[in-house]
Amino acid sequence: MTGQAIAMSATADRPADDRAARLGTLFDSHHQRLYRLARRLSRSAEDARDLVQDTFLRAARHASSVPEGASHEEAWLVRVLINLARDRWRQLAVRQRSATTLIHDSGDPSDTESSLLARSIVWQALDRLPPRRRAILVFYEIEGLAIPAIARLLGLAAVTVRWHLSIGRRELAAAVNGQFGKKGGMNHD
Amino acid sequence: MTDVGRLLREGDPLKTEAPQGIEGLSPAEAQVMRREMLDALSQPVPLVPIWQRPITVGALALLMMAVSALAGHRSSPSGPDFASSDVGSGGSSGSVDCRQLQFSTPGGTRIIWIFDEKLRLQESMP
Repeated sequence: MTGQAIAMSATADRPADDRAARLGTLFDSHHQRLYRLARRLSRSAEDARDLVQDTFLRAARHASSVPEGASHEEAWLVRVLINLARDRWRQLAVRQRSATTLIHDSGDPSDTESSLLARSIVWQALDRLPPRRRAILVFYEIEGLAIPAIARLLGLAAVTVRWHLSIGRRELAAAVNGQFGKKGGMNHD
Repeated sequence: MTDVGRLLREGDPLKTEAPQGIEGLSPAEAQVMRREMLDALSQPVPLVPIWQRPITVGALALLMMAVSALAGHRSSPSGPDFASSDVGSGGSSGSVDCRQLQFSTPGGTRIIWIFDEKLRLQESMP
């Protein structure tokens, strides 16, 4: 009880201007990086903007729970964003459980078409992954983060990150190979 | 092996949406977002009614499961019914040298096991 009372009074004592300044700095330091992550976790730029907005709104409403220090702040924001993405992904998954993936199936595609198709398939498959696994793939494959850095950012063990990475890659490869297999065994080795 | 990493990098939506190399929010979008965040700071946090809080809901669900499990356990007629008693060997000294364990199976058969003083099974009925 004493601990709670002290924490509450510390928050209340912090001047509003001070908190606004800290949040402003937090936003300025992290919004672009968060948007990039959100965009790669969302289907559209609009969804990504909503995710970033909701993440910072949560930071504003729970300012006292944002840890001090750039790397801790970043990890906190990334985890909030992934949790929000997960909530949305679950809602979407319930709505779209019976929906089927539409893939163009007309004629033999040229090389350009097939590589466009492969990219489209792999991003559609990424869309179906749970947000945390998706985030791990994005961090590793697109942002080029090392496994220990991803583990620190998400608060996971390195072995868990490696496991998600391996499963995620396998799922994406299966999606690509499955679709091209149906269309006549195109090889994307 | 399909190079999913290459496909992911090539299909990165940030590249296609920001061909000029400006990957991210525009300054105008960022300003709007920043303002909304700072406005939220001055607004009171909306209170969630206690029955909508996940911890409350979880605790209630656990409590209901515990109560129903307890009620089910108490009213269950199918469990074996145990009873044990001491049986005197003949009553000369009054000391207890035999023990009896009686129970009934779910089917209704009553079983009696009689043990000696070293808890070795002497007799089983039926």
